[in-house]
Amino acid sequence: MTNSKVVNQNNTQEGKDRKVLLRVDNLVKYFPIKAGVFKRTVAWVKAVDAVSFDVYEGETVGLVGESGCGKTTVGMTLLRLYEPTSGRIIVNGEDTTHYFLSARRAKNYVRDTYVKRFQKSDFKPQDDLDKKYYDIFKNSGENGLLEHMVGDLEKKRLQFRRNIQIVFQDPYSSLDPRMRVKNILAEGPLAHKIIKKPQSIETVGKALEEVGIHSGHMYRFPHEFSGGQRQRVGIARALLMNPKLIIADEAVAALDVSIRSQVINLMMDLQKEHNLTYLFISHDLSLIKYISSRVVVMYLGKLVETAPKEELFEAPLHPYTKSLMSAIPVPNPEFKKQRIILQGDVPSPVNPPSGCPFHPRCPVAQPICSKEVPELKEVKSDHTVACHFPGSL
Amino acid sequence: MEKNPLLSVRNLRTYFYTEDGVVKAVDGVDFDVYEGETLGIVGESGSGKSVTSLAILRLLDPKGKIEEGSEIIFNGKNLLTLTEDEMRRIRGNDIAMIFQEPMVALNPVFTIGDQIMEAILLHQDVDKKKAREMAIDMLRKVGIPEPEKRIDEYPHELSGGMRQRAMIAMALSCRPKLLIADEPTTALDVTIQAQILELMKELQREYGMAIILITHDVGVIAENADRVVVMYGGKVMETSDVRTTFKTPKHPYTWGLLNSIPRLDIEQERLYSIPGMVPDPLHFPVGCRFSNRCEFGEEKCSVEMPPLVEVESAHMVRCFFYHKVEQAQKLSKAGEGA
Repeated sequence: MTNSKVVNQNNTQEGKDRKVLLRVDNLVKYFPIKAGVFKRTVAWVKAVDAVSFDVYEGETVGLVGESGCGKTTVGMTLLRLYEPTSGRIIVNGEDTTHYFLSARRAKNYVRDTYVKRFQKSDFKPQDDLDKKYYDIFKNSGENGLLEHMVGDLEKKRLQFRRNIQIVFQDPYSSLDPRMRVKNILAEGPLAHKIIKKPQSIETVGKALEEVGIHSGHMYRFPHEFSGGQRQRVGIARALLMNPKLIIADEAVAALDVSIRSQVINLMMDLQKEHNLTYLFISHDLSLIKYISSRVVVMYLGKLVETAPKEELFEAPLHPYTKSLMSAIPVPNPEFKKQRIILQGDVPSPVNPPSGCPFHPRCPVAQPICSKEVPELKEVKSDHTVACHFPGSL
Repeated sequence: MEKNPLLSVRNLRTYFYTEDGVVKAVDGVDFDVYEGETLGIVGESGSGKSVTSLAILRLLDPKGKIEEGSEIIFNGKNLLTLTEDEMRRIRGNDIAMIFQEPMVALNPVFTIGDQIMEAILLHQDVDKKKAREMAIDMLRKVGIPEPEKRIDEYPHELSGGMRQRAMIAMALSCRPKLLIADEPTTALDVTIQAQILELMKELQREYGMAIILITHDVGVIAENADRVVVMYGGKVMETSDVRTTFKTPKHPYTWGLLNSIPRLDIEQERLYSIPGMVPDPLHFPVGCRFSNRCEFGEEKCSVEMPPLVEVESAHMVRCFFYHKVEQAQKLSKAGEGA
């Protein structure tokens, strides 16, 4: 819990003028490894381990890391395609963590997370959310809070799904090959009753034009489109739900270089027009630098550094961030950069190294690094880093 | 300066005869590779860069034919006139290749030791014991820890980076004069990519071999190649030494490509986009292959294929209107300075 406290305090000060759209608080996702006849759990893959960050309305947060660092799992868990092991996911000032549990378990979650703490005599609210829920609790008791948080769960779920949409990496497997594009696009809005059937052709046509595809193509099947066009269809599908937040998971990684910039520019234009917020998940630091306003760097399931973009690229403090930057090939033969070649591979998240997860590969590791997990500390305003010796590389 | 090239590709044309028509994957490609240098071939999917490399080793699948009039001269011999037997002696021995996906390129049912020793036993006059020693030595050279143990492991037991190292060990076990690396790091993470590219540079210095580095990543080319060939639609669009092409690109495609990628070294307001999409190799546009996506083009471009001309010493460009790109480049440079 200590990690998140540090981060949250910072953000409540910072966030006075900016609205936090999404707060990820100490998110943990472990996957069981099962073996034997009885499928006993023999170990856990610690895919995401205590990750906390905020996403403000209208900004783009870049979530960057290498394969296996848990960045995709963060995205999937936020969308509740995976249930988090623990931690809270707060959207628009409401705790949404329990939305996809059964009513009984959702109630238990609310009791465990809030009611039990509120009932203690020495309770002090830790953040705005605590204050808000405590007020409800004081005024209308446990049942009132349960009604507020668990009542009409089905409606809350639909609302949640409308608010957060995703664009996947692979435009080949994320569109149903047996459905026409029109039906792919109309399916969501119809199910959520955003539009009525007779309107669907008009709405879909408009959405297609908006992403740069001729509306006459709506009767085509996905295979009739090129990769870039398919990714545009994927973006249109997300847009049609009028979401507040779009999670883009490696949305341009599968595209050819010359097509990539078309899609990136399109996404940035749409952001301005619709006041969208993006969580952009990518392994490509150059892309993250171009598109994001703030950057979150992950390594082996842990958050290692987060900072505004300019700050991060000018003065990275974590040795991993710095090494990652130096490993990116720059298309300029005259560009001089510090070359840091990391030794070894990324360790397995089943058995992460003791202490700092980066210490076996870290060029400046000290004895303490293998013993103690570095806490996420705010080193400068809005710049947090999890390292015992920040800035030493 | 007049050196004899190690490999000369002249008018290479490789067509695939499919049911839908003739795919002109590589259509008249010329380039030279000199001893000890790294030639980068850069292009997007469908540009013909991989087919070119497979054609050099004559490893095309049966539908693909190298057309009459193509020449691939290696060490003074035209590889296209050799018998299959003679060719087999060159593959793996004089010219070796590493591929993008080591898991696919390595045989999953043999240990990596078996696979490295196979190449050694085939091309060198040594017994099995000696071959094993050489294989262990090679694995140590490419930075695989505990090579005595790792030699008996199967490909699936190694990580992606280690597999690529094992492939490099296999390719270099016979000290080839030319190594063809087709997207050797595309499947790897950036920190592992940096390791592998560094390793290739070190081994190149030690063995003095030439490398053809094929990739879609212009950054990798800029940092690792001496000279660059830019391919698009089965044609060479521009070629020169690396500095010249990256500093003063003269082909609209090269220029567009360099301006459309997010970069760490400069601040970018908005990325340039090359309009349209990568052409279908069955239906290339008439005239210049890039004409339907080019912002500098004129009528002439969609009628006539521009020739590859030398615009400066050793800087060849296939464009009628390359001076327009020069101006655009000057403008954007001035904008950067302001």
